[in-house]
Amino acid sequence: MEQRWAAMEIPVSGDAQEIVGALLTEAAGCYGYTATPQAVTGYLPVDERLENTLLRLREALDATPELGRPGSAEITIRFVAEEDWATAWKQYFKPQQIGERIVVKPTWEEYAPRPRDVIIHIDPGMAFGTGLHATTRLCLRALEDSVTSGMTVADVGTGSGILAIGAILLGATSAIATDNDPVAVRIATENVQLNEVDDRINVRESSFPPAGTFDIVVANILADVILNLKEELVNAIKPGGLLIASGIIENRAGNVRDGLKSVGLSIVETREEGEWVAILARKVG
Amino acid sequence: MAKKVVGVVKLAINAGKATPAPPIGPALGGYGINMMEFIKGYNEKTKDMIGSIVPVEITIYDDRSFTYVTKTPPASDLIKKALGIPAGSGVPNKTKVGTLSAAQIREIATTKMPDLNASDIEGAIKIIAGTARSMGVNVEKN
Repeated sequence: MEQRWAAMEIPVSGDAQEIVGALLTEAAGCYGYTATPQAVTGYLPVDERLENTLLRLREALDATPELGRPGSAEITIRFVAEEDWATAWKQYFKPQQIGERIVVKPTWEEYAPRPRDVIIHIDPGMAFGTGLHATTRLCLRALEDSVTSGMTVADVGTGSGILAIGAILLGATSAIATDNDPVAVRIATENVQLNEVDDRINVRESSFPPAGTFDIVVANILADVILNLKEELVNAIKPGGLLIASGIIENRAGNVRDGLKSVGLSIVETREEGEWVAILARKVG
Repeated sequence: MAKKVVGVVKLAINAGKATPAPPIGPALGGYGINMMEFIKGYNEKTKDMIGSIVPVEITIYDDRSFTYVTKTPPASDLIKKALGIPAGSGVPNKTKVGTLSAAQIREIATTKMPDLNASDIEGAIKIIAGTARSMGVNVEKN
């Protein structure tokens, strides 16, 4: 049965919002509330307890002198049907061309491929990596420019699996994808199967880059994580191989470049999109 | 390229336990942002504070990207901690669940001062005392 919710909006501004917030979460048992400068809104499921809870809430509002005249007088109740709030954003996730040949296609969208397209099918679920974020696009373009046939690739912090899948579709022979989040590992595994590259990508739950000697290691995580892992990252690259590091906000780029240089990498290029950067660095071999 | 702010949403939600259910779903759903990315980030950032409500202010831009900052716990949370009680009263005007001393109220008011609009500590104390009463907590007079 469709769940319905009662949205209770109580006009109150300034510090008194603390008091009304406490009434909503404590007395009424709301899971939380939203606040605008003029009002506080709490939500309760519509069920047999609602009427009683509302009665208690009204009494408590009236017994709160800080709110002025009977506080319950101005409570507004709206009923909202439960929607698929978590996936509402998906309507904005459309097939998107990235770089020269790559097209990221949500599984639920139609797309007519052109002859040279490299199509990555993605259902991101709860994992990061849709191509809607600048860092994912920076990494995909860098892979398009760097991957040649026969290469081995490691994708550290794979999220939806999009970068490992992209690397294989661009010609890499095999890839290992790691993530420390079991949800991401499950979703990446599903996306790998969806793209029919499960014979060439090994998805693992791990906080570290895999041991090995890869032609390319791509790490689209965060500046601090990359700095913490810099030794493991450099160890995973074969001499002459390439690191593509992203998830880096522009004002941390200098830090990351210094850190990568300190472990013997030579900076090839820093690419920018908006406030995000990707750093390409080569292991001198 | 400057991004335009299309909305600012303030939420007070349980640390480490955000889900797409209300209040988050209806508050953010209309903006078309990737809500799971917010929920995942919020839960990760607040996982050490499970059991507390950690308010968060989310700023949404015209390209459907967003940023957020977490704030100090609400007064109700500090009051529960001071008393060592799991929840306030369901019938605050009738059933009382504890008593705070004037000194405890002042201490909580001092903690909350940075996030309140109150111009002095006396104003902040009034708000904390009012919050306590709304939770069925008695407040000792000086």
